[in-house]
Amino acid sequence: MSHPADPYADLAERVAAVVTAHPAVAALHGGEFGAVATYLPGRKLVGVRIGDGDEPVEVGLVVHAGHPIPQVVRSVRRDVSALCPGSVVDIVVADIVLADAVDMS
Amino acid sequence: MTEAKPSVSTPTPTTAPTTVGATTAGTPARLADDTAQGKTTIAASVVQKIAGIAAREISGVYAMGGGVSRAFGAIRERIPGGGAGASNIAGVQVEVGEKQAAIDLDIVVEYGASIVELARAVRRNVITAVERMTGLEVIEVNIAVNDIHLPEIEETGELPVVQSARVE
Repeated sequence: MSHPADPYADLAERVAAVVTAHPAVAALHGGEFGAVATYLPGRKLVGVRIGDGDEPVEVGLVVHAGHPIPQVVRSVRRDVSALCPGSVVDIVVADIVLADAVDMS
Repeated sequence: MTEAKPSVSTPTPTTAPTTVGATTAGTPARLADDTAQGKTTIAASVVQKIAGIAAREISGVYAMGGGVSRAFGAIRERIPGGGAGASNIAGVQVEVGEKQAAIDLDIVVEYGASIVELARAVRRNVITAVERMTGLEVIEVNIAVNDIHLPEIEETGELPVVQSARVE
C-alpha cells in the first residue's frame, strides 16, 4: 500500500515539519475531536490533514504563550501555503502552553 | 465595557469554499480576519487560560474560582493529563464567538484591596491580554468576587479564640 512517494503522505510530512519548526508553535494538535490527522501506513500524523480536491488543508497546533495568535497564524499560514499553493489553509489553535508553568513542574 | 479600538471590521470577501461542518464542527471560536486563504479557529481553552493568567497578574487577586471549582482545580492538577494549566482556568468561563469573546471571572480578593479598583484593574488587564493575544474583541468581562482572604487567619492556622467569659 505504501508507495514510496505517496504525494499526500509526503505533503503532510512537509507541512508538519514546517509548522513545528515555527518558533511560536509548541506542538501539533488534533483539534477538538482529534479529527485533524493524516492516516499513514502504520501510523497517524496528528495535527495535519491534507484535504482532497478543493478541501482545505487543516493544521491544528498548540502555541507558546507570549506570541500574539493572529501574527503566529498568519506566518504559519504563509509557510504552509508555500508548500501547497492554491489551497485554503484552515488553522485551529487548540491550546496554549506556558513556558514558566512547564519549568515549574 | 466597549473601548475605542482600531476598527477590525474588514469586510470578508466571499467566503472560501469549505466543506460544511467537517472542519470546525463544534469548535467555538474563529478569528476576525478570516480570509479566502482559510479559517482560523481559536479554542475556548486558549481564551480561558489567557484570561486566567491576566487576572492573576493583578496583585490583590488571591485566587480564582468559587469554592467548588477551586477544589476541583486542585484535584485536576494532580491527575496526569488533567493539564498543568488546570489551575489557570479555574474560575474562568468564556463564551467565544466568531469575532468576540465574553468572559466571566470568579475571584477571591486579598483583604485590604479596594474591590472596585481591583475589579477595574482585572478587567483592564484581561481585556488587553485577550485582545492582544487572540485578536478577538472582548465585549464584556463580568467579575464575581466570591470571597475575601484574610491573611492572619491562615498564618496562625487556628480560629480566633472565643472569649467565653468576658466578665467574672
